[in-house]
Amino acid sequence: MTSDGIPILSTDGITKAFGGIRAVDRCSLAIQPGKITGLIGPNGAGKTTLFNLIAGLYAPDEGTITLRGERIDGRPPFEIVQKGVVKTFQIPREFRNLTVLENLMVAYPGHPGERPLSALIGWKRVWDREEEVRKKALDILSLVELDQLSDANASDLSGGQKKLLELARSLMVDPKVILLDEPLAGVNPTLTGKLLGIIEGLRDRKSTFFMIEHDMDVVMNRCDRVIAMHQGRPIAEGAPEEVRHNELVMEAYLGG
Amino acid sequence: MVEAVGIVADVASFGALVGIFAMLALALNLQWGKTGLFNAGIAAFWGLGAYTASMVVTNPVPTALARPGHWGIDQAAFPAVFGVSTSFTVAIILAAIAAGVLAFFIAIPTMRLRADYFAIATLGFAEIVMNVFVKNLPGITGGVEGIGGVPQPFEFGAEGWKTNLSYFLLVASVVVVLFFLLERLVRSPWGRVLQAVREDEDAAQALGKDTFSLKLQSFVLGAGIMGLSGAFFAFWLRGVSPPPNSFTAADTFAVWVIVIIGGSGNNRGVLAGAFVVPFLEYFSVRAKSWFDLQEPLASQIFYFRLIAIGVVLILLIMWRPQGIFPEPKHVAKRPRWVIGR
Repeated sequence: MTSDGIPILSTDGITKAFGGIRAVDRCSLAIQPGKITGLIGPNGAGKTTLFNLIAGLYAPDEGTITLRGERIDGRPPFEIVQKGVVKTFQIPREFRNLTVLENLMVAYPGHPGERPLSALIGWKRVWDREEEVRKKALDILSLVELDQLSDANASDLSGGQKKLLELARSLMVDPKVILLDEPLAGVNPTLTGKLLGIIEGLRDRKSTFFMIEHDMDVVMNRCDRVIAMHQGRPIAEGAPEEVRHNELVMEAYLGG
Repeated sequence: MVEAVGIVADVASFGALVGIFAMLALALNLQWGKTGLFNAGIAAFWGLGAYTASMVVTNPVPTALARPGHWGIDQAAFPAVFGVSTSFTVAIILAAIAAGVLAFFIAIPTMRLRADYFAIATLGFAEIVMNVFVKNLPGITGGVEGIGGVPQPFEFGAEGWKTNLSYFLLVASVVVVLFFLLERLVRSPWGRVLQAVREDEDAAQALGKDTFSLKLQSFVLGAGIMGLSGAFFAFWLRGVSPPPNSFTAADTFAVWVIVIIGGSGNNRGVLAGAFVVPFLEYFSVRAKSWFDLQEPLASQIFYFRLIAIGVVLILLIMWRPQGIFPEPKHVAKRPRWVIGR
């Protein structure tokens, strides 16, 4: 296993079985900070299950998950987010009846106004914080070019705009690691370019991305590293070129 | 003059009942309208509040032959302030706390259930609390007879209209205060995050929100308000009696009808809706004498309200499913006054 530097996120021998099927099977891998790591693999390889394990939606049956030296396996999802790992959904899960701006504002972590007593009393500092949250949300909205739609209901956005909203919302929590589950699926080429541009811009500002992607063009040209999974565990890891020519990977994809 | 006084007494009594249902509806609007919690056990929180309050404002009655007896507090223990016993204040506060505590313990095992399962669970709990426990604890709750002789805070003896009117004013002011407090709460970041939980709990959790705790806060607070309403109901009725007389699933559904008609998620809407159900009840009881009805209509008009509620609900769901007043857009809004520097 090639490794350069200390990983920000790593899994060690994690296993998750559903009935008799081991969706993730003794999976050990490491994600380098400040890089875009692509996760590829045929259908049923266990990619989404792996993401759900890292994000805390499932607890692993065995093994450990470590974020910057701290174990996070078995913690509830909200705690894992608070520690800096956020996951976007493959199919956008916007808060339909909130506006686009509110969708972002609600994602702000640790808002003092989200405690009923401080909300009821109405401290000035709570509402001053609310102003900061609004500014931050508007900044992120202009980054993803949704600022014109800030007052629209989230349910009124197009499919592609919802993908942007999904990414923008996850940025509100200042994540250290962002897990993107097929961020480009069903997105037109123009928007794909825009989304990748945003992701690369954030990567250059030291954000770490771990991304499930099926489009090999994107994986080969835009990812810094690639991990290929098959039958619940990684079979190859390295620079895109290395993984592309790995025999195990070709076999897994061609069903050899 | 005698007639005018009678009308005042009657309308004030009706108004107080509207206020009591308004409290229930505001509470359900927090739980369901804002948080998406399908609470089908309103009757239990309401009933527990009513029983708690009744026990605080009456003397204990020991069990005797052919008399179930119930808990109580020696009323001499409560000093009077401006001629009103402090027992009422204590009763109202304890009623809210008791219902909130019950909600907490019901929530621990059931809160993780999805909407429809949560509804069934709360409905079941409510039936158990009222029908199994409350009804079968003579010596504590008065068993099947309930608790009688509950006083009202302001008693004017023969001048019943004054008693009713002052009680109506008390209930109305509580509703107004509750309305403003709840508006302030739901128009805060807290209200916004509750709404996010309602829209998509998984997504809220994936953004770092402790959705269990948020739902618990909303559920317990709402149940506390239902208990508060129960205290005012017990004073209004001057007593409590167990199902099937009071605190049945039908009461739970009446509150649901109010919230759906008024507009789920809109506190103004549910206040308007709170007139509908008590009014239909009021109307169907009095229609006989108002219109000088003949038999068989005279004895059947009472059931008119059930038909009317059904028709109103069907029409509304067909043409205006969001209710008379839809939920306002833009959740959090800085209040006109804030505290601190």
